[in-house]
Amino acid sequence: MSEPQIPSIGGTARPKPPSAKGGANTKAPPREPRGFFPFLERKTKAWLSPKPIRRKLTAMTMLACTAGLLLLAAIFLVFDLVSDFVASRNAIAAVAKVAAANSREALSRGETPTAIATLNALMDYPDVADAMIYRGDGRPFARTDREAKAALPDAIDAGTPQGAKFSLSGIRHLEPVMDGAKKLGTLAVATGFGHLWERLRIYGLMTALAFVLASIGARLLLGRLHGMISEPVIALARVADTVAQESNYSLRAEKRNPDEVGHLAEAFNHMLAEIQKRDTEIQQRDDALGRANADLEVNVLARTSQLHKEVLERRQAEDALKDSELRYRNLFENNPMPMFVMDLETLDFVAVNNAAMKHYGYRQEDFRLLSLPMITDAAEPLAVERAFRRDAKSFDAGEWKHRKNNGEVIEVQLTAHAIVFAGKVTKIVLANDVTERNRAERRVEEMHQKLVAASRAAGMAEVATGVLHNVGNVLNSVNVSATMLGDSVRKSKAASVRKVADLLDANKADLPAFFSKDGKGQMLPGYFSTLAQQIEAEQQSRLTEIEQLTNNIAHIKDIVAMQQTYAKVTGVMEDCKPRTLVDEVLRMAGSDLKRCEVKTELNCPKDLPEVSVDRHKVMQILINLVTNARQAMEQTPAPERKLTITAAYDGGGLVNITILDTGCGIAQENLTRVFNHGFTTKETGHGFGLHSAANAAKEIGGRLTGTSDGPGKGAAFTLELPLARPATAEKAA
Amino acid sequence: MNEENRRIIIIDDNRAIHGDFGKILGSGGTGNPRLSALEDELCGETATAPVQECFELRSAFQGKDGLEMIQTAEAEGRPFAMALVDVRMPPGWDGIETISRGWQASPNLQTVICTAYSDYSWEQIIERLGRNDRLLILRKPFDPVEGQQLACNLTARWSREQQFVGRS
Repeated sequence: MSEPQIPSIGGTARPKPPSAKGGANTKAPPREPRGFFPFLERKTKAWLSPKPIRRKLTAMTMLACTAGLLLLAAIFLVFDLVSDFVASRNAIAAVAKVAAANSREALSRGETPTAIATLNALMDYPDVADAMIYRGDGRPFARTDREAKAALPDAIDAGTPQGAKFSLSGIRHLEPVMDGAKKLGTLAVATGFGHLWERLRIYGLMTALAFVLASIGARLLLGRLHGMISEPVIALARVADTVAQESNYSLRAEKRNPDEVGHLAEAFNHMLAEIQKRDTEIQQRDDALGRANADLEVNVLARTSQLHKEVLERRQAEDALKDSELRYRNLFENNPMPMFVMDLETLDFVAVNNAAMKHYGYRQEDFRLLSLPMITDAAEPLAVERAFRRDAKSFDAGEWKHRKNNGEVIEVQLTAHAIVFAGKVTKIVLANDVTERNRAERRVEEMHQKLVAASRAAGMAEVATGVLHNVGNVLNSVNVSATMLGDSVRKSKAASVRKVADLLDANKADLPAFFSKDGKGQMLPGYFSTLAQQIEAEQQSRLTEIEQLTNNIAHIKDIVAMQQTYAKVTGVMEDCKPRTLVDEVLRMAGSDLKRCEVKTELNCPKDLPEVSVDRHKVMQILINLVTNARQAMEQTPAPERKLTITAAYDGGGLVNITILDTGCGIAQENLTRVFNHGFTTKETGHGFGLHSAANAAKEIGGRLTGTSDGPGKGAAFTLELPLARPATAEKAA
Repeated sequence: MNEENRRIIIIDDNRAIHGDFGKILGSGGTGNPRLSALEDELCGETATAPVQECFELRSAFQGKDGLEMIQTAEAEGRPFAMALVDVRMPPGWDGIETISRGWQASPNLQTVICTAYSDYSWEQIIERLGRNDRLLILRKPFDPVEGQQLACNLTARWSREQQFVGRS
């Protein structure tokens, strides 16, 4: 297993750079204690350190067992040896004492063989190696004849202390042989340690056996128990290893026991969680950073392209600015419309474009010598100057006749605008040749006139319709009135007068008597009175009837007169006051307006100047306008129906009569179409009225125009009438 | 219903026409009864002037007003027996439109189109209103007698048809 390189927090693994005052601060490495055990400890540690925990645990357990066992064996050994030694000494002393007593006779008598027999008996005791009896003066008396394993000295000093004496070879016990109080000699017994060595051997064997057994037991036990400690650690180590190798922080160590390893696992897991959290955060920040980078790149790209674009645009603008002068010159020079710039002081041509040269047939140098009045074909020489100098800002300079180089006269529509050109006040003039257009217009107008003539015939049908209806209605009343009158006359009580006259004639012989006596005569005065009343009433009724009859006949006459105005193509011009005209219109159309609940307002000063008009035509136009206005207000709520007739002098030779209504109005696109022949917005209309009205206005030297703010906002039609002038009146007459 | 229904509605935008019908069908031409009585005594003979028939007239000047009056009369149980309708009645409905609606409100209404100039041909009228026997056409100017006789006949006819409907 390779140890992962984990940088230590404290940095002790990093060698500190030697510093000036390092000597004082640097901790000296701990002095290694000398001696065997520290040495052994170091060696053991050195040997165990790289071993797996399992091996370490086993070794430590075995060491502990061995040490305990050895210590126990040693204690037992020492105790056993000491007790055995003491027992052996006491036994020797006792045996020696007995032997001494038994040998007292032999010594005193000097019987050596007896003593030797006693000594030989002594030799039968275990571990007795030699036995001897010394004389009182220390000389030897007897010695066992058995093979002695340890040699006692041949002689001893008389003063040699009695008792046991230990040596490495064994115990030597000296026992005095006493005869009463007199010391006859000394009995010496020597023993070896043969049985002790035997015992030690047995001990060693037993200890070894116990060690072996203990080892086996310990191994067995450890095999069961070491897992408790080592396995969680190993598992933890495995998890840590996996985490380290795979950088997978989602792994978790298993907490098996609630001990330190368990805490360690917990702590490790906590650490892993923390690391994972941070890792996730870092990942997120990385992602965010990545996105921000991407955005930034996009923004940078966009901004860059925008900058490119701006630069390009600016360059284009500059180019455009550079080009503009040229282009405007081109615009002028190469414009398909003839254009020229004209000095407003002299009316000379300052510049002309190609189209103008081509169109007029003059070269540039020709134009230099010319001025606008010189090419203009005008009755009045100063007309051009007046027109162009009058209003510096005018656009539409009107229609003019210009003479080309080849003498041809063209009609041009001029549009002019004041500019400052080459430091002078000038006008740029655009000439639009409208010769062809005008020619076409005139053709259209001719066609129009023909159409009008044709339509007039058709229009008679419309007129006839109205006439039939109106006359029919009136005739009905006439018929009824006439019948009533006839009835009234037929049934008149005037006939009764004849009967009474006959009665009186019959009684003329005696009239006074008849009146005073006769019953009938007496009733006569009352009868006459009643009859008179009746006849008066009849008279009154007939008068009323006749009056209505007259009115109705007048009405028919009006209708016929109206018909005549339609039928009339030309009329007599006469001077009349606008107010008269307007009043007449209201008289004629008033009843219709009243019936339709239209309020009328009249704004017409009585002192307006007289106008020169064909009266019948004006009436036709105005009645047409009033009728239109009334019909336009049919859908308008009754309280809002209002017709305003305004007459005013415009100060420029024209009197305007405006008829304003609050009706359905006219859509913008129809404002001119309403004057077209055949155009109508009415269900039963013929599209004839306004058309002929406009034509009539033109015939009498006036103009008819219409305005409207749009559908539903009412409309106003204005009839412009020329003022009465003696010259005009005479010409018309 | 013993008494004949003599209620007539006149729908025309022209006031003069209303006046005309009033003279023909209304309570005009009444003699003076006292004068007649005196004459009877003086001359000993009875004046036998034909008594003008008298109708109950109602006027409307626009088709819509006329229809409302017809509807109201129906609702009140006093229906009109006859209607005299003009054709041209600006600005509102024309006569044909009015008649068409009037018949929806009062199916048995005896109707006379009364016009000086017809905007519609007879075919067009039939197309709009359908062929039926409740419609007559009176051209203006008309003879007063013609008007009187029309009113007389049509109101009587209305009453007969009403009885017939009641019996069946």
